[in-house]
Amino acid sequence: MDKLIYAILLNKSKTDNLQQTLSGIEGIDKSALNAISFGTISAVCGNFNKSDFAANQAVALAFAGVIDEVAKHFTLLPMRFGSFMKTSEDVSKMLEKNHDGFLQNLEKVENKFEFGLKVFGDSTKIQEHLKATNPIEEKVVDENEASKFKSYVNKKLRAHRIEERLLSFVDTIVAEITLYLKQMEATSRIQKMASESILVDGVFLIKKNQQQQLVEAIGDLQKQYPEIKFVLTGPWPPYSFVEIKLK
Amino acid sequence: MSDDKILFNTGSLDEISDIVGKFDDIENSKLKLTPDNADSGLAKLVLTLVELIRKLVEKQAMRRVDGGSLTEEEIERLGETLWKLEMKMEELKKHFNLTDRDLNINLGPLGDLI
Repeated sequence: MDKLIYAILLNKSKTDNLQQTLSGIEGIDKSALNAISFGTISAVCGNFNKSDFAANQAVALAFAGVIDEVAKHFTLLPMRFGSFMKTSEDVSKMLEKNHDGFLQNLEKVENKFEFGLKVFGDSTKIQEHLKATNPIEEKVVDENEASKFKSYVNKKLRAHRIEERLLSFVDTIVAEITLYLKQMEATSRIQKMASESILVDGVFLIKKNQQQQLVEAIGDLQKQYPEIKFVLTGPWPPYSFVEIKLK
Repeated sequence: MSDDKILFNTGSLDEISDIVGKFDDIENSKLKLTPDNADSGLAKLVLTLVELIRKLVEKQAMRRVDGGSLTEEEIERLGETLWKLEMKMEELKKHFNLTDRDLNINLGPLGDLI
């Protein structure tokens, strides 16, 4: 049987306690979980034949579900879906080789969880709203020579100004989010205008006990900007904040 | 995603799905290259990149016009160039039977290309 690795975790207590906790959690297809340790670092594994492993959405969700469950008890680094090694010895060697990198990353995310924020909005409607509340200067270049090219430039310039105004609106929202996150000493990654309907797409790493503070902050922002929709999700294992290349 | 993972959402998920669906044709925005559609797939890829560059040029040009650093003559020439580029692009899209929506490849976590 191959070893399917779900996560790498920080195990400062005794390995017996770890094994006992894992025995209460089911792996994919109700399989058992076991820990392979090196120092204070352990890999949470399950036994699977790699050739029988179906890489589909249901299994991927089950894999994520197991990681989620283990994350309730330990600080961990989620492994990529379908991470297999041949034997326990291989896993052990991998832990030894990457010990420092794992430890560094685990300390960075210790007792913290990831939260996701998406801000949805109809960019066309928002642009119209922004245009109505603060009209765009209509004429931008002199068209007195009846040049169709200058009219064309004017048309493009108006569109450009509306777009710039939308970007500035998104910048304001991001600045407000960033201000709240700074107060929580959060690590964050924020993408502006991920698409025409996702104005902000962000992930934050904060302490678990700050969850309510974050929810309230997003609630305040929602009240301030009723024309857009804030959706906050979490807590997630730190999927977006692990930086390690396995040796 | 299970509902207990949604910590804050004032509207319904259907409402959000409507907003996203209006703009993001995720299926259509994927580049699907197969042996059967190599020609049209390649045309879509090439035209997407050309359109991206054209829009960047246009954006930069508008910044310069907005900044007031161009003379009337330069604006006239710029307008003519941009207009001709847009017309040529329209011609190419028509030739390859592509629409504006086709020329916006979704880059997954990085968002839309254009």
